[in-house]
Amino acid sequence: MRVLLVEDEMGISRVLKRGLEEAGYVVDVAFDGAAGLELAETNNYAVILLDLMLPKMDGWSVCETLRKQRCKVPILMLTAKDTITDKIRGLDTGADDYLAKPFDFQELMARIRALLRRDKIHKVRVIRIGDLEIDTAQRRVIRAGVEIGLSHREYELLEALAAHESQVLSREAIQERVWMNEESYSNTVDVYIRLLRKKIDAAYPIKLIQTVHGVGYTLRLPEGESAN
Amino acid sequence: MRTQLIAWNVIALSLLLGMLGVIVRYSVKELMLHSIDIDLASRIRRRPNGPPRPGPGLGDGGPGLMSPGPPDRGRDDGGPPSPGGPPDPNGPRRGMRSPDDQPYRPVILSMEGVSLDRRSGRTQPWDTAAFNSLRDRTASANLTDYGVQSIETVTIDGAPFRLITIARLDPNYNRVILQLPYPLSDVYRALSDLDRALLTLIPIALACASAGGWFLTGRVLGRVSKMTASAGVIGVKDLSQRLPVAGDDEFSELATTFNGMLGRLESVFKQQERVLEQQRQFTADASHELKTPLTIIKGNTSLALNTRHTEDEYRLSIAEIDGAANTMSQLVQDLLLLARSDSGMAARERVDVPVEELIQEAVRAVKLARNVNLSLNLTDSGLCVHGNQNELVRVLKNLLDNAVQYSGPEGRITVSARREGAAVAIEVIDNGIGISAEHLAHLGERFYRADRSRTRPTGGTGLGLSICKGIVAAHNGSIRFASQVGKGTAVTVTLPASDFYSSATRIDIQR
Repeated sequence: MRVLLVEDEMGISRVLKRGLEEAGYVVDVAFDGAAGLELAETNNYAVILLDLMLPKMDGWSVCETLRKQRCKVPILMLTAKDTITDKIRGLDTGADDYLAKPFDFQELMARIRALLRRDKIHKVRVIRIGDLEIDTAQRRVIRAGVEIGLSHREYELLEALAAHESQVLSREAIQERVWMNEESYSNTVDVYIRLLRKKIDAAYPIKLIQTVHGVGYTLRLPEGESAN
Repeated sequence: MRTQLIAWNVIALSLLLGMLGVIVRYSVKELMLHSIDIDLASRIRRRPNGPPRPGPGLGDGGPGLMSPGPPDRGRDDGGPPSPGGPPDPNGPRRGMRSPDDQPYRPVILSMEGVSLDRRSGRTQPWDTAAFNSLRDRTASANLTDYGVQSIETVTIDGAPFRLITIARLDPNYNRVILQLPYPLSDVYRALSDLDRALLTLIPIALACASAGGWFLTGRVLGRVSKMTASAGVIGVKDLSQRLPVAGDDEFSELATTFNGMLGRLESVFKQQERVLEQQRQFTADASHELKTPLTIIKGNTSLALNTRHTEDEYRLSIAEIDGAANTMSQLVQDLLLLARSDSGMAARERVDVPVEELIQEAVRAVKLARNVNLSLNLTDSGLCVHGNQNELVRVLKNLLDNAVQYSGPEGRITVSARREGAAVAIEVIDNGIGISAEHLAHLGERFYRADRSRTRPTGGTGLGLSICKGIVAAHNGSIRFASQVGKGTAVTVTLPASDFYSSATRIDIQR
């Protein structure tokens, strides 16, 4: 999942980038407002972390401009300005959340996860579908009590499918979510679905990943199967 | 207030009027009695039955006592006017008459209290007590024809009288006693009329005075309360309001004075507000600046503590924390320095320092990492200033830091010092990016950065020039900035020169 970090303070942006990457995000960093806006306009990010006191263009203006362009990416404002007025101004400008510096890294991560869950069916950290468990914070997958090791992409793909349980996702939609705008081949999605099926479904009688011909893929319990 | 005022007025006025009434009442009485006494004395002495005029030097009294005698005494010696004769201008007046309209006459009595004069129509003393008392008093005294007299108020037949009693010698040198009464009923009537008049007039006067006082104090207090009301609505928030000034009396004077005070208050409050706003801004900026390194520290610690990391990753975190701690300590140091100069603690422990030494120390402290060409131009090598050496070095170091930071990789920095009258001017000139006029005016403001970007690792605390300003001002000096965008900046620090001249040899610094 790709995240944009707009922060002019080198030290802060370094530690955030490191932490976010450890958590499995792909991080783009912009050091001023104008550069941040340009990146946000050209790429599709899962979430934008936006500082307010920025050179060239402040955070409020960046946020306002993006919202005017009907950009729906969740924006999390990170700032040392922590008065009520500042928070209200930030949220009213179009930010989805507001975190005052200095903050705990775990809180930032939790807030990012919450923002990413917003348009999803599962609004909890651990998604449970049948005997499949996905811990979205620790990125651990367990089926019938057995932990399954997944690669970064495989996990992203599984989480994307699980987050939209029972909804059919087209190959394009999956590609956009999991691979963002990275270069990928047209059959990449099919290749990864095959890999994922081997690990998730092959050893179990109930197959969760299903192909909807001519449309795409979905993850759901087959009809007639109870949750447990 | 009003009632109190009136009450005090009435009390004071009634005391005053009461006292005045009593005084008038008794002085009138005394005056009347006095004039009656004089009248009685002169009338009784007109009696013809005094002894013959003694020859000069003769007489048993002292010559001074009786010899001149009243000059008019002989004139009336003819005795009282006959009732049928023409009215005597000196005759008995009204009020001197008995109830049967006969004038009271003096009665001449022997020592035994027997009337010697049939004409008086009285055979006994008018008042026996007065008669006896005077007779006993004068029994052993030498009497003259003038005699010894006593006057008292007595009651005869239930009516008040003024009675004069005289003991003297008659023409035959016999001791006689004369008594003449004067009825006081008319006098007492007049006095009681006066009492009544006073008792009526004083309350009326009091009532008038208090009514007038009530009205006047009402008018005065009305203006006072009006003024109080208009002063009462002027709060801290609207000190720009003023009291209306009307007319040319004590009240307008008061209003003018009050307005003047309001004006002074307003300017003080405005200044206070400005100071508070600056203070508030400064606090906000300082906390923002402190939060940045704090965020780096917190981010690194919470990240490092969360999951297991490799030793290199931990080292990286610790290095970041170390850097942030350095930033913080620099900032705290700068803030303390500023607070010191704010509270007048700067420029203490002054000594005479050679300018050259200051510059050398500052140059040593500045990191000239890049390929910067620094040259010194000291026209007068012995120049000294009087000041705190550490602080002045700090000023030059900050200026050099800025010059290094904003001059390009091939930067050329010139430091020069020269004497300008009674001052020493130290100039730091660079050929860097320069500062635009809009920023130039704000230089030296706390946390003001011409370059808003803090991504530079040498971003500094934003307090360097503020510190310079504070220290230089504490040394009674001044600091000037001149700059041209793209060409470079010149900062001139002017400090009062010291009379002391250093003989230090000049050392060229080329780095």
